[in-house]
Amino acid sequence: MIKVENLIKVYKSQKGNRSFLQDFFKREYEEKPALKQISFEIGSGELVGFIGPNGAGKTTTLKILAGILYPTSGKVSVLGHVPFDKEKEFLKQISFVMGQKNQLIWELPPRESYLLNKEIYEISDVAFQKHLADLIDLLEAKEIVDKPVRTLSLGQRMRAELIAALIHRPKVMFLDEPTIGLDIFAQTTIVNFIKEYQKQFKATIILTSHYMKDIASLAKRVILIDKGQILFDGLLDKLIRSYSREKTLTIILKKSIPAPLLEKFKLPFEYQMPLLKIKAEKTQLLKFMAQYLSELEFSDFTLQDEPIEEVIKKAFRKKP
Amino acid sequence: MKRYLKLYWLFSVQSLKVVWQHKTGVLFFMFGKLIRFLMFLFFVMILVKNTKTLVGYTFNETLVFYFTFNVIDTLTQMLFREVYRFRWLVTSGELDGVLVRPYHPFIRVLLGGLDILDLLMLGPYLALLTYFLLQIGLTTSYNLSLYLLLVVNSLIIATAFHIVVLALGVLTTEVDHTIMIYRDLSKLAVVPVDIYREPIRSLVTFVLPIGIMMTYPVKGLLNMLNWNLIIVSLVLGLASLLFSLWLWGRALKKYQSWGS
Amino acid sequence: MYNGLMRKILAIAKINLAQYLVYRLSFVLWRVRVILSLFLTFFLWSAVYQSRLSIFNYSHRQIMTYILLIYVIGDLVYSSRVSDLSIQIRNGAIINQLLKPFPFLHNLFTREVTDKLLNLFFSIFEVGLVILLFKPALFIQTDILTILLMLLAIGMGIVISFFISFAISLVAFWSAEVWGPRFVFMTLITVLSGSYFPLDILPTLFYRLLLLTPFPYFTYLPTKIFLDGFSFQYLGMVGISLVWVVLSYFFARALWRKGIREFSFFGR
Repeated sequence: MIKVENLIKVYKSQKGNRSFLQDFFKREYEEKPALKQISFEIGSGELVGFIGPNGAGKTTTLKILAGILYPTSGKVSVLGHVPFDKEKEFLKQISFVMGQKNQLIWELPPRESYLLNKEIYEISDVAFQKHLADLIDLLEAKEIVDKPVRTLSLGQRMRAELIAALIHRPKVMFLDEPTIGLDIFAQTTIVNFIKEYQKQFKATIILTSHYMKDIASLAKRVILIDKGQILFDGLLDKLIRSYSREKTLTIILKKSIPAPLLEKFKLPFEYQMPLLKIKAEKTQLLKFMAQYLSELEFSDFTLQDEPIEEVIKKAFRKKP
Repeated sequence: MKRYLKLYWLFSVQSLKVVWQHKTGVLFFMFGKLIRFLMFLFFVMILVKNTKTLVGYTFNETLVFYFTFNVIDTLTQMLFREVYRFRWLVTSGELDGVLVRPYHPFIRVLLGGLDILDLLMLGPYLALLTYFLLQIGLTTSYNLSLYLLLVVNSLIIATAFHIVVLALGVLTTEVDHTIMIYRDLSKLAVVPVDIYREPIRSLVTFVLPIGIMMTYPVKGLLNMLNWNLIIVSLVLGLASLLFSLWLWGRALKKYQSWGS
Repeated sequence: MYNGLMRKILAIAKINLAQYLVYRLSFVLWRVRVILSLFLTFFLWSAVYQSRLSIFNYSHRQIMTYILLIYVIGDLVYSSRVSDLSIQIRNGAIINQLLKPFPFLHNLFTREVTDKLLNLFFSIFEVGLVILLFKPALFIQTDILTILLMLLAIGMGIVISFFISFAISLVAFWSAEVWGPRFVFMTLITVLSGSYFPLDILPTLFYRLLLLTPFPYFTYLPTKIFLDGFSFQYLGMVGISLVWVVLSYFFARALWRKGIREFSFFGR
């Protein structure tokens, strides 16, 4: 479905001011490698999350896959096509959604834009009605589609945009930061929608997002990119397991802990009444609990996994 | 082809609907354009009336030049108005959304913004042009065909110009000034380019082919061109179009995609 | 006290210049545009004088001087960054300006001066180039009194133009349609301020009506003073200029006050 081999992308950008006058007469350019030989394959129906800091190369990769940017070198194939050639048959099967960018016309109701897309993507009347109905249903957008876009809230607009982006039921979807800038409710709606859509229509979806919980709830497979190189390509579970062996034990105490007992603790801890927090490896925590839990007077305790953001941070720091 | 016509229709209707939402702004522009047209017409008339001839052309002939200029200018502005909005499309990153669609981007970024005002102004210009053409009198069908051929050539050159502007917009995001320079350059030919002394005249005729665009059609009509010049003009028209398309292809390869 | 003020002004001027140099292509293209309009008027009038020695009571020498002079004065009077104000009002950036501990108008004024001086420098250079290449016959005014009156008229023209342009930018307080009014204003200036032809070639009725508007007082009046020399009639017209200065000032001020009071930022 999607095959990328040894993809390299180099940007040419202007070097900053040395002195104003010098800059006026001769500008210097420097080459910035955005992607340094990345390779991966994505199969039909997969939902893959691209994770990486700003400038890592996620958006560049997506745009090359969509045919927007021209690869400096390497082989890229999506649905059997070379994306940059922008063949009509290729473009009819993909969709590129950028968070907070609109393709809907500001002054008109979304439906007008949908009708335009119908012509652009050569969708039959029957298919158009069905796709539209399905999407309105999934996104609960019945009241939204006939009001001018400028009267909609950001969350409503995003939903209307998604319908426009999917009205042609693309086989491949590129979602670049789809939930950025949205409030928590809108975010949840969008994430749930993507999940449902994936389940129903089995599209291949590539998603980039800064919100780890979105990626975690949607993607089983993740690709970590940093400074133009792939650090990890595989199941998210595996990533978590290899980088996170620690859990956090939080105990809510009823009585303060006597000092001599505190000195016996071998593991690093945080203690401020009424909370005692210990972060350590699972087996160590179990040993601790076995040893000391009976000596403490507490009302409740929780055992939490490391937050996924921390896991990802670790994964990025470990590699060069 | 039929699909592109349908798309063009849809884009134009959409453009009209959007313009309708900004009625007051549109009224101002209409007013401004009207004043500009009337005042300049007045200026040209008052000049030529007082001097009997302008570089050898009679009053009627000068006005045929003037209205030919206006017709070609208005036609190109009407068709290519969307180019004036291109800078925003590039710097906001919305261009990506256009490139990803299954149609040639030109139908959207070159032709997608039919200007209804210019369409309206075209009518009076054509009427006045016809009037003064008739005043000149010596219009045979041969001359007229030559005239029309050269006008079509002018439109081809104008198309090439606008595509070059788009390509430069992709490469440098500098659109506004390039398009306005094109406008200012073409305004040099509002009267026959014979008024310019060398080397400006040759510069304006052949290097930046404004002279060919605006002055040659009427010169052809008045039997003032030999076949060499006509061939050169047509070749230049074709060459400029091919060059512009090549430049656009280059620009897309170098595209870096801002705004994200 | 003045030292601090001077330093602030210099800092603003330096930033303005730096901005220009970053957008140097933009600036160069702007100059190209401006010089093209000079070409049109210069050659059009030259062509007209090929067949006549005097038209509308203007000799060739006088017309050439008129066209070149009004070009330079025009650049000085009209170059302005005031139109940026509309954008700043629309996108809310103006709030930052108003909150800075430097009087807003001082900032604006300094930017104006920098802009005008830069453009003046270039327009003089361009006119010099035209004179060198095409050697038109010119008329040079030497009477000191005339020059002084001309400079006074130019000063008034600058001020009137500034306040009116300022007022037009303030439309942004109430409407998103900022380009419409500005376009009309710029078109009117192009045709009615004398940059294409001396206004007194118009039929008398039109000319008299025009004198009731501010347009002749931007650049036409100073140019005519230079050509014809000092006279009490021109002194009177400079007096009318002064009336326009006052009118435009109060108009701009009233609009500004109203705008600041009623200003609403739709969800920015």
